[in-house]
Amino acid sequence: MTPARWRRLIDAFHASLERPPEERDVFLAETCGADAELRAALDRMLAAHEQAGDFLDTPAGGPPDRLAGMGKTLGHYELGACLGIGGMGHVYQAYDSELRRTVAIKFMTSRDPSAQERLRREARHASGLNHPNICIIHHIGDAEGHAYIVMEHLTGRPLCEVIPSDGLSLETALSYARQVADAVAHAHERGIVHRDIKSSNVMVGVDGHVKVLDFGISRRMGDAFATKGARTGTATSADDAAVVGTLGYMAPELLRGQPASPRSDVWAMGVLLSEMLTGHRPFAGDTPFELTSAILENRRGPLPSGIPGPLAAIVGRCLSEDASRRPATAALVKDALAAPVLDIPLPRQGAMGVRDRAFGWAGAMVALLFVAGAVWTAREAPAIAPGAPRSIAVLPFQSFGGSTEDDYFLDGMTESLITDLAKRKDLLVIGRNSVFQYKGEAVDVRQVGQELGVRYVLEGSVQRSGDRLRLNAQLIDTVTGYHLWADRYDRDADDVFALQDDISRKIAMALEVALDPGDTKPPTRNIEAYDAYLQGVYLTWQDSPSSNERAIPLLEKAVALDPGFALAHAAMAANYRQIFHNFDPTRHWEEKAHVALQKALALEPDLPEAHHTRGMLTWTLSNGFPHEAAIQDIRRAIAGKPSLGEAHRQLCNIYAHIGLLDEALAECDAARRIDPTAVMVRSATGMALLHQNRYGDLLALREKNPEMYTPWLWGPALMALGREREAREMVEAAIVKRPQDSGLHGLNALLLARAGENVRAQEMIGRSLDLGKGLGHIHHTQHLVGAAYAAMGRKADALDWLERASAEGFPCFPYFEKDPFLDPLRDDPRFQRWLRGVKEQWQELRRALA
Amino acid sequence: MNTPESVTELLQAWGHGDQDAGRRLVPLVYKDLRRRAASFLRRESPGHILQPTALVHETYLRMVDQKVDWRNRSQFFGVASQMMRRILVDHARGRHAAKRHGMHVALDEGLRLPQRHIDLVRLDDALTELAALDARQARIVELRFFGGLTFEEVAEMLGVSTATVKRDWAAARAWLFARLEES
Repeated sequence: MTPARWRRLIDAFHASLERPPEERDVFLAETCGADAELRAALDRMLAAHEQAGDFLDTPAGGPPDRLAGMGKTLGHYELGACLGIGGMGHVYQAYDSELRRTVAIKFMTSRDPSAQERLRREARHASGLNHPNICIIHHIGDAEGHAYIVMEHLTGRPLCEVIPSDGLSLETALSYARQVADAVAHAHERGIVHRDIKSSNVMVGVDGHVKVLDFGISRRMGDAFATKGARTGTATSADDAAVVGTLGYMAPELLRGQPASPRSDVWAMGVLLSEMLTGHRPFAGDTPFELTSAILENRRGPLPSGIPGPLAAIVGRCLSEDASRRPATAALVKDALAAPVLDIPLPRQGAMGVRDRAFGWAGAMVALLFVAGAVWTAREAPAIAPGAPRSIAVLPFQSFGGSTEDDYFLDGMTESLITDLAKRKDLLVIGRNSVFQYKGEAVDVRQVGQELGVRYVLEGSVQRSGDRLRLNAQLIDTVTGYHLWADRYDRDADDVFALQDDISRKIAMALEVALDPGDTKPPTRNIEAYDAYLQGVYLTWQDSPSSNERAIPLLEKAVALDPGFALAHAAMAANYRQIFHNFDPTRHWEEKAHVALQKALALEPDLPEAHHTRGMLTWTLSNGFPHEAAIQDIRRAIAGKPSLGEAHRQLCNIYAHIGLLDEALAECDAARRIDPTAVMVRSATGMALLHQNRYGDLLALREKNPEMYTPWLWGPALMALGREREAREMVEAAIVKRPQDSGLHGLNALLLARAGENVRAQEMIGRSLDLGKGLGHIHHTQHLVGAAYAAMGRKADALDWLERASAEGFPCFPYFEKDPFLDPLRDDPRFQRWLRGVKEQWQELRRALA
Repeated sequence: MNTPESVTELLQAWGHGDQDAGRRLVPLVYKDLRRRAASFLRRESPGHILQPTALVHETYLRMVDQKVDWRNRSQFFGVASQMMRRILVDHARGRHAAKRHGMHVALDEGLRLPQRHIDLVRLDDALTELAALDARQARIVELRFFGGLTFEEVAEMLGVSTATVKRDWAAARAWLFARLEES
């Protein structure tokens, strides 16, 4: 056919298709005229067009998985290389751009909606599993009608590729078997049956760490294939190829069509164990039919002679044809495998003398009896081992799109979650001061783990668009790097509290800490009020005069929208207190704070945030430093909200002032555990050390924390250790830097007085007291002035100021009792009287606060 | 001289008009596709079923840096679809031969061919005939059927409108169907 004729044919073909059928004959007759050949070709093509049906419509090999490949994205997953492909489904490596991690995504090939639904249900069920030897399911999704499962991305090789043809060494086989048994036992204890334990479903990492894949999934993924082949025992089509790999592990009762059970998993474990020890599966057959027969007739190959008897016995028990004779669950297999006797290999029989052989058999029999007696007895599921206190850091939630608009909301969620988690007993939660240093940074969780001294890290990202809230969260073990739990939520913004509660419950479950039975009442039901509250709190945290001021209308809006919103009242009080304390000591702020506190406490008498603020608000010079009341308030706050690192630090501070120094250091420790990187905590520790007159420890603290700028701590320590010159250089440099610092001038006065420069010392005393006017904590200056006068020999002046210091909030008996700078006064009766008074006050406080 | 060239580099050179790069690309892609298809065909991985179009996509993902632009991608798919056609047809030819000799064909089970039975050997012959008459139509069939691409992707690849691709496809399909019925 010439090109011109072909063109005519094709044009006529299209032209006639465009006409209604009844006009086609006329059209064809006109077009072809006498060209019978063209007419015949056209007729054939038009007829073919009608008959072709779906000819060639489906690409060779079935429809391509449109989701899979070509660097496509699926939500926030960027699909990468194919890791595996098969009848069960396709597995791709993918990059989770939100959570910045590599994952594996498995797509299901079956399009049967009910099979897909079963898969989703099972995967959801299995996604609750949390075990170091189980591959974690992060997420179950659905795209264009395909169910897909997002899993932990594992590196390593499938066990089937690792086993040499003559089997693994006894040691390696036992190590893998114990890990697999551990994993399956964990699942069985939670009512989950694996259904498809086989060597290709076990991944071995380079370090020999084993992970079991596809809990409850793979059989579902291949449901249609698996059951068909299994029941008939025949393989007639390509689909049955899917069965062949699995068939060798199938328990006889499954082949007879009974449902999977823990005992069928135990059977598969027996097959796996045997495979590891020998290099091949115990049941063999050239065709599925033969293989099925071998299993049903329990014709299995022998184990090599070097296998310890008890281990062979375990394999035998697992492969009992009668399911009721097998260990009931994997936990029993796990226990049996734990017996140390298994680790002793018997010499190969050929190498054994008669005596040895007799001995070997006797040994094996004894061991077998031991195992039989000790292990094969039913027992309760093991209780969760009481471990060391678990520690977790909640990293600031990140925004999906990286916008900062919702920053306050992200921070608020983070803070709420910290609070919520901190209520769980046996869980140490790192406080916001320390975690927020990582805000907006791409961090390595292992590094975070080391820096904060925590085992677990929670990270996540949030997106808010309109009324919807999307959140991803994952819990990572920083030691192993494994994900213990991960989830993705898409909820109404109104559900934010339920969401937080859910996450904190999931984490508690994942970490196996006690679930808090109690209060999960949301702080408000008005989402608009909550939003305003979060914005207000966010500004309060910024801690600058302008942000504190901008927080006021927002918090007012929150309580106007929901007058019953106790937490917002407390936040208001905290904001006023900060303004009062940090920027504007006019008393109307203090008054406003008290009013807000009253409202908050009337609504919620135990509200930790309110007690914390009240404790801090009242513990001031103008209130006469009510130590006891302030301590009670803060203790109450901590009882309700243990993660309040700031409250621990504050408590340490008060204790340090009143001479409860061991208590102070204990609180500092608590604060440091919560906020390991907070400098303020270390200053409080330093004060407690100073008041214990532990100068060496103080200077060690300084060495360890060169970033601490606290000359008022180092100065006395250096002086007490005779390093006056060093102290002087430091203090002089510090004064240049902070010429308005009252305490530094007091310290300088002491230095000068001890050097005999009385005139300049007197000048410094004057300046330090001037600068300290109106300061809440002028009592520290007063103490230094007293010490300076003591050095100058002016005992009466010294005592005037010391008496004021103790009366104005600083009755620190243990400090004054040993303070070397007060030594010139010790034989003075007025000093002794004063010290006795301070001691009595100290004793009384100790009693009251015990 | 002997430094192995990456598929990405070859694709890019080809895209810039280096025809030789295109020629050198073919054996690389073919080797990879062939090797991987063969492992399915030999049933080295039990339970794994060959899906040619998926294989093409995966080969792309494996061999090509995903930063290449869409033109390079099209070229790759053009090459890979052709390769896939050759592999499948060769395999089918082997099967025909085996059947003639009365051998048991175990390979069948490894290869999941189209739902409706299509004789790939005859389709291949017909497609070669079609290519002589209308290269673009034959190309569209190759990309759609062996490469698994959508109309839109094919249109993008060939630089024509989707409507044109659909018209060509309809004609090619009718012609091929008629041709296969005849013989």
